[in-house]
Amino acid sequence: MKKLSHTIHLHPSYFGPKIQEVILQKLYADVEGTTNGRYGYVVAVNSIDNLTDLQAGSRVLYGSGDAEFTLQYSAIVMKPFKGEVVDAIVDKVGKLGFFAYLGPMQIFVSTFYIPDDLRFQPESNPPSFVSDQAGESIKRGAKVRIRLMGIRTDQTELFAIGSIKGDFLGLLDQ
Amino acid sequence: MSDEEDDRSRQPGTATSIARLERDQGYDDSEEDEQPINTGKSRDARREEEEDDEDEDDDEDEAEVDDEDEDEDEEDDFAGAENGFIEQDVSFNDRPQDVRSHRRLDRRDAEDMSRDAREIARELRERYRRDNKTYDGSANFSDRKANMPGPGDPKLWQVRCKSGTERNVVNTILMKGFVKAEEGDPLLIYSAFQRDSLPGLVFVEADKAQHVDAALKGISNVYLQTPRNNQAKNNPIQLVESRDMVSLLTMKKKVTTVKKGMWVRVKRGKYAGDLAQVNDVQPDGLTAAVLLVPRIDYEPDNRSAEDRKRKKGAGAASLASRAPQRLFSHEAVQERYGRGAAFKKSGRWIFKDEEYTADGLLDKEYPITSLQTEDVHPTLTEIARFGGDDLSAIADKNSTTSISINLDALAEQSRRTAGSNVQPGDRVEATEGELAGMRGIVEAVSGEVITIRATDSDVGSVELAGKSVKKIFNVGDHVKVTHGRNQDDTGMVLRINANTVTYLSDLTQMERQAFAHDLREAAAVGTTGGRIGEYEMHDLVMIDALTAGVIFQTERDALKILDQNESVRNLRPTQISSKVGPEAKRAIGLDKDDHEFKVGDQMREFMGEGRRGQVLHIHRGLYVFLYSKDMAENGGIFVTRSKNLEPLDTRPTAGPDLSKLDPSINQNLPQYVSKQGGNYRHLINTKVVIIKGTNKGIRGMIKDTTGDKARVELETNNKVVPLPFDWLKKRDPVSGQLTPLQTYRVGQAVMATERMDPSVNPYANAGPMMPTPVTMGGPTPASGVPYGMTPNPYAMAGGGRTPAPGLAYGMTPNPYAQMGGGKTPAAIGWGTTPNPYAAAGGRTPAIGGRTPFDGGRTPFVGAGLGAPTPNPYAAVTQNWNQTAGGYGGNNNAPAAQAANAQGWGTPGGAAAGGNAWNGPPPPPPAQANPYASNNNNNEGW
Repeated sequence: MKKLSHTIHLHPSYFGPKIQEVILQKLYADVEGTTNGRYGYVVAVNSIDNLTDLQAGSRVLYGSGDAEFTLQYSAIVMKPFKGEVVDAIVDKVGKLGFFAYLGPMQIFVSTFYIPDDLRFQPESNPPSFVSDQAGESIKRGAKVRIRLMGIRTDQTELFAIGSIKGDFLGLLDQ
Repeated sequence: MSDEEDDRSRQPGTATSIARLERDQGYDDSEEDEQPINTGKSRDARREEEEDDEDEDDDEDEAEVDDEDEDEDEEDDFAGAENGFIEQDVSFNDRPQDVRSHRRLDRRDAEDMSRDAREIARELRERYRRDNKTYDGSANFSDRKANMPGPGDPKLWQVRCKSGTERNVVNTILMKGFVKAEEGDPLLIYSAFQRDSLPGLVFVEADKAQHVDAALKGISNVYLQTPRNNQAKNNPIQLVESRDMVSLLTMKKKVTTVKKGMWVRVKRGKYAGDLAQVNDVQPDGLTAAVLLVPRIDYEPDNRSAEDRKRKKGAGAASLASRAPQRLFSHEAVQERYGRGAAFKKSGRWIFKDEEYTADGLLDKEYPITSLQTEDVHPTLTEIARFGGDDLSAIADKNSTTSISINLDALAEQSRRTAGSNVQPGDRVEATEGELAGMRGIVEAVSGEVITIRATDSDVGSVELAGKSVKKIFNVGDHVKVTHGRNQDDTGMVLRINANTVTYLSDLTQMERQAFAHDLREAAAVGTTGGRIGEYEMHDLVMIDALTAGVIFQTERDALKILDQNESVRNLRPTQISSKVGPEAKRAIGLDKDDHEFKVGDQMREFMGEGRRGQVLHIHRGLYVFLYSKDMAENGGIFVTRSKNLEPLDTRPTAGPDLSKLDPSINQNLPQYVSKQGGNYRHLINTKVVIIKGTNKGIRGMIKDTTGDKARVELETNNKVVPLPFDWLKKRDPVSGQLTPLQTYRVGQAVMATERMDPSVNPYANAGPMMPTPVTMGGPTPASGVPYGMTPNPYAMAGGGRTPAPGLAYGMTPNPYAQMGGGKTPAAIGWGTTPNPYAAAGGRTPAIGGRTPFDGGRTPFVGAGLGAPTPNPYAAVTQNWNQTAGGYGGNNNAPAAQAANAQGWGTPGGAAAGGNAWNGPPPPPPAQANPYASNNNNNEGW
């Protein structure tokens, strides 16, 4: 949860009783699901702190007639770090590895980073990685603990590769 | 020819094109004077050195000559005599010489007898010992400096000759020397040679220029005359500066080592261009056995027939028709060529006198000269063929197979040949030199020298050769492939094995491999600027028959396209119906002032955001795709209407695009645009009667419109005939009344006559449409069509509940009405606030010019109505009547206004509106009032 601020420019034709609504919609559209370099991915806007005295900080711009509002809001942000250990839910399993989701972030775990005792079983349904000994299997819906190896953040997307090779990593008890 | 004259290492085959000549017959006689070995200071010795420096790769016939020389030398020098001048005693000299050599032999024998056997053995060993140190061609001799030419030494002269004949000239000099010597008039030169790198020049070693002149006289292709046009160089025999002599005789280091395991390409023959791996190198260093993926012809009949057809012409044809590369398969060969065609011998297959390894590779010997050893650049695909197209199999088999495909070595090799390919910011590791293993970040690259700031030690910045570093990556890095098959792919590094990097491709989410040196760290996903198949960036393509788009981003298998309706589509190349041909580049558009513009012009949006850019494509003269470097959105591509453009150099833009900013308008625009196809398309499915021509009186239905004609399906015989619109009249199916089609075209008529594009200013269109009572009445099916056309942005936004008011809103430039449901006193909106629509109208060349003013000063409307507030509708309506008054023929403007006026206060049915404008009699106002239902909401009026 972070406090952030966002500036919105609004055309005069929006001025009216619903202006607050419009501003909120615009804020949601602008910031949710985007990545902020400093704070990471904005998952959701939680609350707007200066909604009541919005007009105090706003002004009309010369030239265009637009109104400028600066919103202070708090949002749920997500900023994964390299090396961080996270719990995620397996989404897709293939022979090269599996994809897992952690909220908005997709994580790929290559077979290279899957312990050797877990083997891909293409004939199983759904496809899964099955361990020789423990009988545990990683399939769609399984919860896994992953260490993030690398993260790519696009404007609107989070992607990471991870590893379950290591102590305390891998399948979590259901 | 491997022998040496003394213990100085004399490289076999090096002294080639030198024609060494006896200068002095008498000198020969003194040959038996024992000269100390290794003096190295004598002229002879020096010349020997120079001789060593001679070009190595001269051709063989010369080498043979040399062989001969050396054989002679050997014989002559057996006693260890240093004999710089050769030679040719036997072949050229006469009997006295013969006798002399016999005498010498005798004496040598006698000497040998007198010596102790151990000494002889030592001497022999000394003489025949193979020099372990192979000659590398570089100037590594110890007393190099001492051998530098001094003032007393013979000079080197350069003479021009016909380019390409240098070798012949040198050969001729040699022959001439022999002959002259035989004649007893030896040439007074020491040596002659040429360099391949210096065409048109022959060099002669002699004391005086006259000697050179004498030696060259009579030899063809040598230019001894002073060129007439070049008086500056008056002497054809030029002295070579002594400092140049060294460089002239220094050989460039040339490492053409062929080693087992390295990759080469075959230059000639059936396998020309094919990748091969060196399996073995013959000791003589001249031939090498290489492994190839065989091109065995498993369908000889077909292919030879083809060949015959081509009349067995050029080699290119046979090369083109050669069999594909495929591993040797005994079964296939047996099937094709019969049992026993191939047989096994010590684990290898022999077929047609060629050997195949157990892995199915062809083992073939090639002269090294016909192998290309540099710039091989093997691709992973080619290498994969060696293992039957399975790279991982190769890696697995690495230990077991006879071919060891070492990807790392390969990467190393290709890195060396390709250069370092590093850029500032890359992380690299030094691989060679004393700093090997050091890691750092590239700070600067200048040519082959790169500056690295060490990260793991405090060496600071060091300079390294570009080839002695390799790029390093970490797991999780985001990389882009810069070369090779997967070029421009991006992905995240999964793992690193020495030189190969496995990454997960962003676009396909597949694991791929690439060499580290082909990668670099990347910020963005995918690529721009690429090309897929026939489609390239910024190409205009047809997405379907009606929709065109411009490619603004290419990814590996997908194209991002901005279509004419400003929507972005992500398509595969196969989903595109066609690419618009180059003739489209000649398309011409008309800008807002009807001036022509063409592809490549710099234009600016007249209304809207005032975006400016270069015209990329003009589609149907209507949609213009522009490219602007300043825009980040859609790769800088945007689309607009041609009528919304003006040349860049006229006046400043008219402010922000209000229609664009207003969300409710935006939301409807595309829909409107998409229906904009043809001017009359809204008339489709209208029932009409033909009033002119051969089909006069026949009823039909408009099925399609093309240009100014309608394709009318006749009711009588189901024929479809093209007819001009003014031959048609709409027929009301209920009343049977005929009304001119023109009525429906009004919107377009305005456009057409006023040069106004409806998409530019929807209000312009909305205005004219509004009073069309047909739309209100809606009794006929046809009336629905115009509605679809109505560019009424509010129809959707506000019209959900109340369609009629919605339409009214469409006219109403009152944004509050929409948002607040009309709570806001309308008077304020109209009277005092800037009226965006008025403004929009104001800029519209069509209505706009007048509209706002009309609105502003239409007192008679307001007055006539008795309404206290200025009525914007009146303005529009008024305008409408003025501009498009032609429709319907009965221009009943006052009546309409009256209707409006009354309508404000009178709730009334709108049902009969259809005829208000069209029908000859003006209907009662109450009925004609399109705003009737409006009143319920807009009491403020």
